Amino acid sequence: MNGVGRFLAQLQKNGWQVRRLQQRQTVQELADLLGGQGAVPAGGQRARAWLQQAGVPLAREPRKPYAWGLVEAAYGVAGVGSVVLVFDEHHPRWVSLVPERLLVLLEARRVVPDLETLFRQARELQKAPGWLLLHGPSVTADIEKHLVYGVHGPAEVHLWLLEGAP
Amino acid sequence: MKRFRDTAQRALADTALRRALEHNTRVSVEKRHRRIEASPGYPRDRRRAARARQRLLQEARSLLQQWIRNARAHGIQVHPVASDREARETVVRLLKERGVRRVVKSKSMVTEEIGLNAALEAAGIQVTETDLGEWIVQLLGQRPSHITAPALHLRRQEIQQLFRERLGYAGSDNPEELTQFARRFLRQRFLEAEAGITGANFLVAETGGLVILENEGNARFCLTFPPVHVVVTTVEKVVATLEDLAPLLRVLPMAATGQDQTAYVNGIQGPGDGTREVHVVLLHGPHLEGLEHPVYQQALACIRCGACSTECPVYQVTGGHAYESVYSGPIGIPLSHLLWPHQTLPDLAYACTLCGRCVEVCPVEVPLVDLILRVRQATQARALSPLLKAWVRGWSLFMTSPLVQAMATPLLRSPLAGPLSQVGPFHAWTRVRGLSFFEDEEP
Repeated sequence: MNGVGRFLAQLQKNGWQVRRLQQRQTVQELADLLGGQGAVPAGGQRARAWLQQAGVPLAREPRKPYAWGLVEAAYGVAGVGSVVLVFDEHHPRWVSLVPERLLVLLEARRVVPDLETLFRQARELQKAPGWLLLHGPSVTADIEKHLVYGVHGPAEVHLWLLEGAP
Repeated sequence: MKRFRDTAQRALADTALRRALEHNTRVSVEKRHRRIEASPGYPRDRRRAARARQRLLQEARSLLQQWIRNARAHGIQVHPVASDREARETVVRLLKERGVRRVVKSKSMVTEEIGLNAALEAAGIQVTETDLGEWIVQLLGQRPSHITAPALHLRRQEIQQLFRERLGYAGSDNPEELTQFARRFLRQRFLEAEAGITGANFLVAETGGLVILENEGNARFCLTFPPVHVVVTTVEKVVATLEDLAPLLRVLPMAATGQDQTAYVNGIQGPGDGTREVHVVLLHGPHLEGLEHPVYQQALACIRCGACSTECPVYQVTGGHAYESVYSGPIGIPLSHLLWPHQTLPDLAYACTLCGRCVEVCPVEVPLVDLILRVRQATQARALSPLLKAWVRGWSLFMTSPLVQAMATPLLRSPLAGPLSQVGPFHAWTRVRGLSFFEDEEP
């Protein structure tokens, strides 16, 4: 299994719902999934532009509840099956935290084999005000070790792995 | 004076507690073992993680200076403090100066160590714990019974009853329903809070960053919405590089909860979103002394996963509260003696069978059995009267010298042996075994 295959398999094991699609299909797929779901908050300039093209209203108020959030990820880590979000003024933290469901967009060429490679290559992690290794849905086992999803953060996490040219 | 023997007896008599512990520790242990067995890279990660922690023990002061310098370059305000009291006063002062009245807090053992919640409440600041288990034990007025699973000692019916009585909950004892109720209640607290308080799992010297592991997302709320984020942490959390951090990020969740990684690993290098200031209250004092202490140094290599507790046959039946300390289980023995030498139960070092399961499961290879034996030696050396010390020396001579044993054997086989077995320390020995135990051996 190659790096991308291993990455997707690991993510599915961690509770992610994953899809592979061509970048040029993104706008249409976003319109199909998020159209009619109300306003959606988005992190990343490209994600915001795609939402606009898909005719989905952009949400900007962090304190309201949302059905969906959309973020662009900086990297994927195959070894543990994590997605890396790097935060700055274009990528606020709340977008990946507040909604009930989170959709993450990641370019296939940005999957690295393991955490060691990530920390060696991604020098921006040392400068950004914040980053996140996102491994799966928000979860607790605090009541009798029973797994419950969606404690404070999203109960569902979805990844679209984007391949090919935009 | 209260002793572990008494607190353990009380715990053993509590059948509801025994049932909760039996179920919850068994599930923890099974899940951990299953995942570790399915992870061929785990032994290598464990060795690398242990090496990273040993590097801390050798270079603690220089790594700390490096971390402080780099954190300040990111705009993080670092407040080194020497004692629990100074730590409490610093947090209260920071919050008071900013007019903070409501605080949300994510689970942090260091804030338990320094008794922060009581200090905040005394200063008129409302504190809401937001980790689900920690919030439950806060509502009960208890302390966590386990490092990573604070409500390990409770059953779902007790939690349902608590929510009914305290919060007007009208739902069932289903964990999903109880959790969704908590989500709605706590979301409002996150949005109203003027400050968030968290701990930190690691401080990365080469970047000046903080790393916080969690599963629920409550720490993320604490560091995303309130205008002020205060981190309360201790010096032994430092790691040299991101490369050293990598194996620690894998072994900690594997040992703690049987996960490949926690749902969220937060890297913090400055404020973001609604948060305008990041303060780190960095406790050195006993922790820095401990890093250089000949007996306790290795205890501070611990990364607070709690695996040693759920594996421990003593903890499995007594639970964490019987230790009467912030830290329970095997690691609680050296840590309690290091941090609170005068408040620790005097016989706590004997809350251990020396079976060594804790050593086998520790993700950073802390030699817990050796540490506990050394605590026993240190505490006994202090506690023994001259008469008892002379007795121990005599007993040691008797047990190690075949010649002395041969000379004493006629006495132990004589009619005098019966009354002798009831005298002083002989009585404790003969309560569960014979005085002349070697009689049955081949001559």
